[in-house]
Amino acid sequence: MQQLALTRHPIRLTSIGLTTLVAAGLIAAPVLVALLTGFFTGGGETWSHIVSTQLLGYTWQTLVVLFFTTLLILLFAVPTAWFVSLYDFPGRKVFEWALILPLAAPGYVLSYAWADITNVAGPVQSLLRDMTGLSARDYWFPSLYGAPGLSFVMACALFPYAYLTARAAFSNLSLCTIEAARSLGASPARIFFQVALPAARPAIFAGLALALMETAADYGAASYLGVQTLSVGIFRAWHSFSEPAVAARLAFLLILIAFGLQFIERAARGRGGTQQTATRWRTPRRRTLDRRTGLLVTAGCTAVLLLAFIFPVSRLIWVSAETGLGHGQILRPFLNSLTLAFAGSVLAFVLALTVVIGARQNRFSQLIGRIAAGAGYAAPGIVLALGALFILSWTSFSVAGPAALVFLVWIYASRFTAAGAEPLSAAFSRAPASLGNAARSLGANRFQRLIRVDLPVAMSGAAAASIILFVEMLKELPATLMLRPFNWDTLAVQAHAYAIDERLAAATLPSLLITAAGLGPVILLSLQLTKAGESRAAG
Amino acid sequence: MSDHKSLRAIGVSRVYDGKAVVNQASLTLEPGKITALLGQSGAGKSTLLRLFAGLEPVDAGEIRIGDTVLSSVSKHVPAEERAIGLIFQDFALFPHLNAIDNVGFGLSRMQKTARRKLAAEWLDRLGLAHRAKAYPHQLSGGEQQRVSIARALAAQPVAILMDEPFSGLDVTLKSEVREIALDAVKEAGIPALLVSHDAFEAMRDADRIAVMKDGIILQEATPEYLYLKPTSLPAARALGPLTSVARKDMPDTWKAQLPEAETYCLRPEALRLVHEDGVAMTVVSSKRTSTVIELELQLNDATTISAIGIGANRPAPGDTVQVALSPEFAFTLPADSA
Repeated sequence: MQQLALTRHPIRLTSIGLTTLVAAGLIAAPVLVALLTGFFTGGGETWSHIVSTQLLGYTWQTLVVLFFTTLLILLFAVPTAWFVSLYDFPGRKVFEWALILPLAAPGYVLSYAWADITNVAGPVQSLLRDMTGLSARDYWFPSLYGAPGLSFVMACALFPYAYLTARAAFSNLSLCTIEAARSLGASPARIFFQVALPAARPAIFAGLALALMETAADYGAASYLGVQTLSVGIFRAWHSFSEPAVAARLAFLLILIAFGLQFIERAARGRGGTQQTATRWRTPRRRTLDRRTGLLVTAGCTAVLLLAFIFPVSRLIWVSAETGLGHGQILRPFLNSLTLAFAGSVLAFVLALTVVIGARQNRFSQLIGRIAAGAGYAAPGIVLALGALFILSWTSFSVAGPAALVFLVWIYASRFTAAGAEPLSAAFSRAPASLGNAARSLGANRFQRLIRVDLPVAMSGAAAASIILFVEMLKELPATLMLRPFNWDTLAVQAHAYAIDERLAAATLPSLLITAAGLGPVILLSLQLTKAGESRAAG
Repeated sequence: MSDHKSLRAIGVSRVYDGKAVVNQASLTLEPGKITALLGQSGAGKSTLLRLFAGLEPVDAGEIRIGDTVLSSVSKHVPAEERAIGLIFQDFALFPHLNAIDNVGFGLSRMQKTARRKLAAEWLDRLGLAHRAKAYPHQLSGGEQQRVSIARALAAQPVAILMDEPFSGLDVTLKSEVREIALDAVKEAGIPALLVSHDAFEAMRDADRIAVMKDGIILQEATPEYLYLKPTSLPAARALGPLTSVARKDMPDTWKAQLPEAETYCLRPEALRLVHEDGVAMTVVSSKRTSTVIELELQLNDATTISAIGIGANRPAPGDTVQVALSPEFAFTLPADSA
């Protein structure tokens, strides 16, 4: 064979690569600043005091909460997803989308509602006393104030993440696989445990990891229910001890937990053997459950929905209606919430789009974007807010001035870009490479391809991404609490302030508004997901 | 008939991780002719197509349309500026556009009404006028491929490249779509490349065939020439089955019909069943396909030989049949070609 005269095509830092780098920098800066400041300046007496008296407690409480939350999320999400994906039973079509509704209510809102439902004067215990004639001192009743209670509330609020990923995985099982298992004599239970569950495991872990990161990052519910988690400790170090650098050092542990969760999730995904290999692809057709099993499943799904959404939200509506709606100024915080969430969504969407498009262009951008987005997402709002406060303190801007709002929008984007990047990237990857090549052969340049092919094709993903971003930002509490200018409340901040003051009635309206504002997008999202599933099953 | 120019690859190479997946390939695609690029998967066919299309740069050599250089080591006209149409195995229709808008995609410089009119004409030409408003997921596989062909041709490309265009379709659809599609391609009078791993398809559909293996174009000629006068054993095998028989094993009556050589390659058609005056042979196996009977015959103790027969009666294994030679289906290969 003759020697080939070859040229090398050098890797250049293209404009796309550069843009990705800038986007990645914007996403990753706050968490990096927070961690580095914590590492280099977070020592001293307060740190020693916290290490010797509280660190172990914070960490233990956080791990206990994560443990119970895991159990409850698996219990809520996996069986419901399994039955909704593969079987028909009374109410299945409603549960299919309704089980996503709890996403609209943040954990702290559910904690206010459930605390009110289960306290001594609440409806449950009152009913119990009315029915039995006992007095409050005559019986024991489980208290929501503690790690198990917090786990219950967080599982209620966050199980839909695992439900959604599990449902997608179960629906993607090839009918051939299930039929093969059945022909080999496997019982439905064995098909579930030995065929479906192993295949869906990475997806379930992905949803679970997401929910657990949110749980670890939660400040609102934990502080309200008096559980001393790491998040509460960090906030206290910043707020009560006025030691942001110490708080940032504490944040290390929280980040470690988040990365640990991401690591476990990746490991679960990395182990092979979960790919479908049946080339003849058929989506499973639903089997109708017999009457008794069907009713049992309906009851189970109803119970989950009642606990996670209907009971707490109804209670809030009840309390709010009972006490009248005139609790202080609500319009201002409402508009503030919408403005911030909108601005944050736009910035995060642009960053997510940049990262995803960059990732499609070359590996360098892919790596940089992924690391940055992952770092921002793993970092709880509290940590990012600390980073922003450090950066603010280097500038001449006032921490309490309007510049803080710009920083807040930045923090929102830093925190949630990954949440937006995921559906966008999924939508892009569904479009085969031949689409882009076809467009090129028809004369469309890179920009035209983005506008005329990529974006329209990714539209469903883009819509889902924007909705997820908006709802997440609307619910965000700790970073907003730390960075908002004086007297510039959002609904989340207002609800939290009232609830901490034991003015639950006043907290209900902002809580309900957050839930209501989140509800529209969540319903849209859930209908879209359900429709996509149906059209796939039909096609 | 037209002023269309030929599309040429001149000694092009493409290297991945130090391995040449296309190795100094030269191929001329003549206007109005369909050239099939035939080879097994991994032969480098699709990469050569991508080099023609400008989806990848060349590492050596040139791609030219007429006298204009499109790709060389120092120059690369991007795919979007080449006006070379592409047809994909997976159709690659834009899922957010209906059939008529898919066809109109490449006509964005035209006025909207003119664009729609032209797109409608192309749909009509491919028998899809009634499906103009349908979205890709509402179209059958055959309809989708016809839309993609209309889309490529409507943009008036200077050449068209088809990457296994019919392999995603089931057999009954294939022949119908193929005929309509290839007629339209030929009518356009432009150079056309048909990448395929199916010798039957290549011989039936193409005016010329280039056989590719390990990144190298082994031979390029008309289907008949390639079938009967291949210059290498891999090229010969790429076009269809054959049996190598040493002259010393041949019956004397056959030797007399053939030029002097050490070894002959026989296509199955070289041996035909006759009623008398043939060489008697025992049937080892026989299978009926839709049109012919495929036979394995015992030539001597060590060698079996493939033959085909036609007729209503299929000889059973163990039967003795009379076999005559059609020397035009026998050929010899250059000594160093294996």
